[in-house]
Amino acid sequence: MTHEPKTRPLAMIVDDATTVRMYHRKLVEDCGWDVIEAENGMEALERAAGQVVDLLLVDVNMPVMDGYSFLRAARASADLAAVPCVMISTEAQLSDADKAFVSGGNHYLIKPARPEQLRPILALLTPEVRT
Amino acid sequence: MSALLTQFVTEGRDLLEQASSALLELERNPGDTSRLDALFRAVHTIKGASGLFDFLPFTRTVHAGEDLMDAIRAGDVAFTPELADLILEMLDRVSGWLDDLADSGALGPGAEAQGDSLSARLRERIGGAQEAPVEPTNGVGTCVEASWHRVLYRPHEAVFFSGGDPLRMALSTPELRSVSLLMPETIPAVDSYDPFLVAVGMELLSSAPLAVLEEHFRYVVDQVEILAELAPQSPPPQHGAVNMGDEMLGVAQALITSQQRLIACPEHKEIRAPSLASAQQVLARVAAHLPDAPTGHDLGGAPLQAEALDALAAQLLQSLAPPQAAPMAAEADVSPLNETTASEDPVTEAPASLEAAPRKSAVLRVDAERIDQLMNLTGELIVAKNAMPFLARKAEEIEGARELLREIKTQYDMLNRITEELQSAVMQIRMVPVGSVLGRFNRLVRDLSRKLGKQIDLRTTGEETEADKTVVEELADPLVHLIRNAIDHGFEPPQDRRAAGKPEVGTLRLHAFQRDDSVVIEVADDGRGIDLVRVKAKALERGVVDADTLERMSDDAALQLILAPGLSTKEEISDLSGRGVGMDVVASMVRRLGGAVLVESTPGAGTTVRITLPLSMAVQRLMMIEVDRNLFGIPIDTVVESQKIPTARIRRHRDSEMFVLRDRMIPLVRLRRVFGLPGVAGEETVNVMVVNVDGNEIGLAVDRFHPGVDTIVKPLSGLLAQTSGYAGTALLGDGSVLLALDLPEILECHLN
Repeated sequence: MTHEPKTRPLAMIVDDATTVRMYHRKLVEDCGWDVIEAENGMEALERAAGQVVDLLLVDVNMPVMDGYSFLRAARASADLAAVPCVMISTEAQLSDADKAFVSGGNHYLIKPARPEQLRPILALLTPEVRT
Repeated sequence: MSALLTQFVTEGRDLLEQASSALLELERNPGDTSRLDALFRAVHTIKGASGLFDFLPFTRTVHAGEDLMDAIRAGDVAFTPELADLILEMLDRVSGWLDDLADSGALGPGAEAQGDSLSARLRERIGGAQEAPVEPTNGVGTCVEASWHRVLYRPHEAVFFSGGDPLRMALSTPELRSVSLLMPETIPAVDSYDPFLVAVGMELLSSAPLAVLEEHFRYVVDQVEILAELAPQSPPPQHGAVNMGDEMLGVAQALITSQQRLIACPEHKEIRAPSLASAQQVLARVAAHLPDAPTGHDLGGAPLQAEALDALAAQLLQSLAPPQAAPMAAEADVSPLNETTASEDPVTEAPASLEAAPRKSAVLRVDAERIDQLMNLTGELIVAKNAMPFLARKAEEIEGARELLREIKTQYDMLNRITEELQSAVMQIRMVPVGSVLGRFNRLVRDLSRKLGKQIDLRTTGEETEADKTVVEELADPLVHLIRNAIDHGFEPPQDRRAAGKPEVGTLRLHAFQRDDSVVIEVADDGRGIDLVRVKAKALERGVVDADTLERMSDDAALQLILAPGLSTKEEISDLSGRGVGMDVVASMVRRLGGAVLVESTPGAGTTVRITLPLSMAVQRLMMIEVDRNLFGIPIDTVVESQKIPTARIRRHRDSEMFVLRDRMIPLVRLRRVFGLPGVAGEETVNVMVVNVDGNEIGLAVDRFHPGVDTIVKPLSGLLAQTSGYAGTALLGDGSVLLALDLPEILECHLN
């Protein structure tokens, strides 16, 4: 796999709702990131192939492959094994944050992630620019 | 109207449509959990997206609907026609609101009252126990002033019985600065003290903004009181560092704390190493943005053990806040860290099957819709191209047009070649490796086999085999059924296997390969095999075949009876294969996709189910046949050969006819009879198209043969959708409509 030199970090947004993806994309792009999207975990795994993804923003409740299963598969994959992942879900039960961590998630937000929540996270999780 | 709102309205309408059709099907078939799931998911997604805007009545109403459906799914509320009416009413209301939004960008007048009454009625059905959770009252764009807050959190006495964990709730408060206990006014006497009830409350000091805290406590909103608090006069010690925004500082703390929770979560051993590596990534990135990060460790270097990472996280937290105010410093001490795999390279730890998954160098990502559009246009082009042979035929009738005819034919050949190349190029774009579907069964197999106390080794081969994206996606469901069946019914328990002299660990093979224009997937187990005697007995008992036919059937053919509706082992209802989900479901799913299923089994040695699907479902080659001056299409891949059979060689047996072709007895089905037309008297020969349907060769008596044609078969819609016997319609080059026959269905009715 050859890594193209890039200046903008790349985030992958995984959510089945187009509206939500669009909203997150705008927010993340405004913070200086590039974005790729996937509708569900399965598609995310496919799309991640060969990409250098710097951050995953993952919805929990999705058809085909939900966020937790995706994350476990991602951790076991070559492309996404160690990519930081923020789970974003409307499901705000107390145990959800735990499930995210058990599945290998690095952080947990309640949907919709507001700009004032997401912006500092994106800033702090910006990797050092590769040259 | 903003692009986001436009998108929301469009997506909302789609989802509403999905929801109502799921609801209608659910009404017809109340036990269909997949419909219920679809309904739930559609409403869930609408709710999630609506949260992006400030449409409170909207969000509140769909949230109530979602909760109600969740209760139905959980079996707490029974699904009744009245309930369906109520849900439909909600969907209509939401549809009306979407129209309002499309028209004016806002909900119409009276939305508040409508939403209140509707959500109240929806919640009433759940049992009224739950209060509508309070939604955040600010839309996305709202900015919140950062200042400190004091949270008085008094959990309900019986909170443990509803699964709550107040301590965790409190300790995970964003930007927590301090915790102290709120003691009850009177402490219960020792003999009347109930350790399962919560007696104390907590006072939490947080520097997080109000909105963040409200969100954190949104589900216990009746148990908390959030008071504004002045930030401490003296700013946190600066450690001689760059000035970091308060907000940023809080988020950094939250991120680090999250990593500590992840590090302390050792449940999933197989993803342990990569999870730790990701935590290390997060810590390294956060540290790089911190003014005064500890420099003693190289966070970007070799993977660290859990202990080291945890210590680092604690150190980072220390550097962010004065020691006495470090949030949750105590929690860092509790993490159980006895992992040994942590130092291994996360990549080499990945399961072989996933690592072996094909990786394509992604060059360009294109929206699937655009490719679909290209595919549709290509399909239309192919149909349009088919008009040229008709033109040529017309030209033939004109005298002196030989030159024209020749030119049309040359042009047609060229056009034909280009469209073929175009079609295959477009199809190449849509090709994805089946590995993306096969790879996801590892977990299914593991969970199911563990649940049943069977040991099963899943081996997947041929993941790199490519097929159209739609085909690959549609493969998943039948495969899930087959795998469940194999694990549930195919494999013997370990003790039986040992007794039979087999290895205790069973092997389940998923093998994919391409054959001609089809992709073939085999699901093979080395279990007990299918009991042919029982299958036959049951087929008789259920009236699937009569004794005569059964007598004449080869063993291979009789085995396929297991695919007939109502035959597979329904009596053995288990929570795995589920009620009534038998092989017939698999067979009908595959046939719907234009494929075929073949079962092979050796008693004691195992069963192989072979699914054959067309590589692409978009353009199909149909063979045209004529019956009573009407043209019909049959899929070319079912055609074996065409024959002229002398009438004298056709033998009658009771109601059925057959003929011998190269020493094989082949049943004859006259399509004229199928369509209720009178037969042709006095024929010397009969035109017979021999087709192979699910492994059985059958002769179709037709009036005339016609050439094959490339078309897009569209399923019958509207009133015609209920018509049986037809797979769909296709447009011919001369503008006429070709009916594509559904052979399995026709033969099922007319063979016996």
